[in-house]
Amino acid sequence: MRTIAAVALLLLAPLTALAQAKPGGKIVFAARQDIDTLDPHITNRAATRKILIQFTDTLTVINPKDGKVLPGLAESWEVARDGKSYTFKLRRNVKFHDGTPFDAAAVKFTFDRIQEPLGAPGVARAFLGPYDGADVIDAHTVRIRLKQPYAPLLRMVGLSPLAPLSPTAAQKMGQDFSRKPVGTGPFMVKEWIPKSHVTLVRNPDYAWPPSIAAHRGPAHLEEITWRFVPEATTRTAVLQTGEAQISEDLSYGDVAALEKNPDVRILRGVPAGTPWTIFPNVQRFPTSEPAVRRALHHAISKDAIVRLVFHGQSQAAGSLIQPPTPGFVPVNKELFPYDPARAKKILDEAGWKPGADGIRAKDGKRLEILWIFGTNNGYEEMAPLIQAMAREVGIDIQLREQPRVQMYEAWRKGEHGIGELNWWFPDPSILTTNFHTSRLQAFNPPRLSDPEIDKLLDQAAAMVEEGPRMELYKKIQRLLVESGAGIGLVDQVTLVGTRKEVQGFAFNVVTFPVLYDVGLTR
Amino acid sequence: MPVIVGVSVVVFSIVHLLPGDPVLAILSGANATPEQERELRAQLRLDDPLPVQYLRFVTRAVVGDFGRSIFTRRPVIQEIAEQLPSTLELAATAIVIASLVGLALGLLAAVWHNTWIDRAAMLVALGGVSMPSFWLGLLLIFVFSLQLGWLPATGQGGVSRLLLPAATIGLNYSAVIARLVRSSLLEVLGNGYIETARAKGLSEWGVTLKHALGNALIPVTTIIGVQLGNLLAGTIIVETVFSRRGMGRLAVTAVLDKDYPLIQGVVLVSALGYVLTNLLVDLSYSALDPRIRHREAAQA
Repeated sequence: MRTIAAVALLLLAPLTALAQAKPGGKIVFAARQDIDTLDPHITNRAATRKILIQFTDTLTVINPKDGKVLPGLAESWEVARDGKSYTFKLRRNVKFHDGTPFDAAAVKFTFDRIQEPLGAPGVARAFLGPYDGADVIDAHTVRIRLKQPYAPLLRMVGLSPLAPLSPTAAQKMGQDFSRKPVGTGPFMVKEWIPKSHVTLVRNPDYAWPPSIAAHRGPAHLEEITWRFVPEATTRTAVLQTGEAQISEDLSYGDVAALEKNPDVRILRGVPAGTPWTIFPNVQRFPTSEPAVRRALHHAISKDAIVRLVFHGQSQAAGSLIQPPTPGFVPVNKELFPYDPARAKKILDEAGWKPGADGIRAKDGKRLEILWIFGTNNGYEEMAPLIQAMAREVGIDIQLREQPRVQMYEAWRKGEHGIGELNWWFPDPSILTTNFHTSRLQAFNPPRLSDPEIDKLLDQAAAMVEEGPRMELYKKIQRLLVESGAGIGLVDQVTLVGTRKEVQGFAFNVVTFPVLYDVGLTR
Repeated sequence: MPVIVGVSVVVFSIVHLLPGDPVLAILSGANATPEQERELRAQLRLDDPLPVQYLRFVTRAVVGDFGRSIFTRRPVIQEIAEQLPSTLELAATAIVIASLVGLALGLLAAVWHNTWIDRAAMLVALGGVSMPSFWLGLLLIFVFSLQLGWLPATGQGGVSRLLLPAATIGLNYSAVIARLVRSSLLEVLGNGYIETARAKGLSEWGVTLKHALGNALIPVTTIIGVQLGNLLAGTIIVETVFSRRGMGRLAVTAVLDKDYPLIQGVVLVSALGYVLTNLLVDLSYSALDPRIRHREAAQA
């Protein structure tokens, strides 16, 4: 068997050599979402971050395969024993697109700017956490001081909103920086035509790719037209016609047909972060009753959702974070297998008796749960399916669609019975965002405020040692899933289609596209 | 003018009375403290009483200053100026297509009244008006981009990229025009002077084109003007399906983001466009029917 494999490899070798990407060429990238800004410190959108990746480099790089932290613009780092300061040794001979050198002062400038951005602060400030200040030790050494220990920092500085920016350009351009920002990355922003496209051109001086990149030196592609194509069917069409060489976020239903097209290749990426998840509001009747939350979890067949909504392109969620995220532990199957009979029993025991219409009631109150779901939030097909499954065990889920802004407001007021949310995030500390008391005014859709959970989340966020830290997150996941404050449904999966002449496409840890290694074979 | 003032009041009230808070929208994700929230609210001047905000909005709007977008922080008028040409181009082409197709179908149907040609033309018109534009758009992409490979499906620039989106809107409205041309022509063809023309020995086509069409076009022109409002609404969907930039895309983003100044600017500019077109339509009557001009002159 092994010899056959070896022979096959030998035969294939010349073929793969022939298929090597040649330098040069231009591509069109069909992107799903419009961007709000190109200023990394203001943006709140994944759509913008996908472009940031192309024209910036980050201090660290997270290996998408195992979530490990690797050197990026920082060659090495040291963490103080109290976890409150991080010293980064920076790479030399790195230049911004405007020709100015990348150094410790640029890192300090960038992080200080995140605290006082030219506009409403975006995700960058949240990512930077308890930042207190930075000290320039020498031109290539910078120390980041924190108000309290913050272990996620090493992964956070691997995210593009925290990538170093040119202080010279930012100061000179002012508000215009958000139109044509300047980083150190393999591509440079040439122009942004709002609602239409962003043009990126190759940085000819680029010589500092991270170690996981497949090649050295400047990017293969000369130019990328990043076109906003909001309609999924249109993204599929332009991929088929060859108008676009790469189309992101394909609709699950289109994949089967596209796979039969010999000119198209489908790539699947599983991002670190949280699965598609619903959160029962633990402060509002009737989801305030643990029995109701537990029964609801047992009543939902995750596999049915995978089959019917995701056309088999993903898998049932194992926990409240998903597999590539460090610390992930699959607890769903053991704690909450699909079991409508058990769901009914739990409700019976809790005193919920079926009424004439099949919906249960207790003390004259019907078992009604209001699910406020967001427009275009990705749950609109799952919601009616879950509604039907809940009805089977006597729970009446009422669906109300609202624009996301209003949905978030309803959460803050606690008006919802169920909220939905999912993240792309490289660190298990995302559980803090969803479940910590301090986030009641931000996200925390279950409105959970549990001192025990808070304590464990704070502990985990402060632990510098990676091993024990992840063990703690495993414990937290089990407690959270048991409490019923979150029901992970299906793992997120990213589907990208490329024309077959496109080589070297890679996903980063949260499945954003990395185009540095991309080239065309003809 | 009263239309514009009315629209400004209505738009201002609606966006402020609806639930949803732009400050929270901007800060979502940043885990902001209540102070940061107050600070931003004051910075955006959303903490003033509503009448004060309205007066500020109106006094600035009359000189073309709609304020800055809450999200991009750029002047609203600049955001609109960037998107408007694309939509105008689309709308103008769509009107031309709608008028040509509508006129042709209506003429065919009227001249061959009560024959299979009439019924076929009206069936086509019925199809055009019944098909939602998002579906018709995808259908056109499927046929002309995917199957035939004649035209690109998305983007900007050149007639080839304009044709499919303009046809999507145009075909929708051509149906209304076709039906109107038909009924209006049939009415005119029943008049006595048409009989006279026929008696002179003119062919049926000659009668229709020379004597009937001009008079039949007056209600049609009105409808084209009125349809322009709907047409602008149609661009919202079509711009999304064909990934074109324009006012429609701008409007959708503004509404979803609750970007008050941008919504107000977009709606006011659209209302202004609507009013101007209808003025143009009114003026065009006199070109089509000299009597209208004479009557006005007599009154003056």
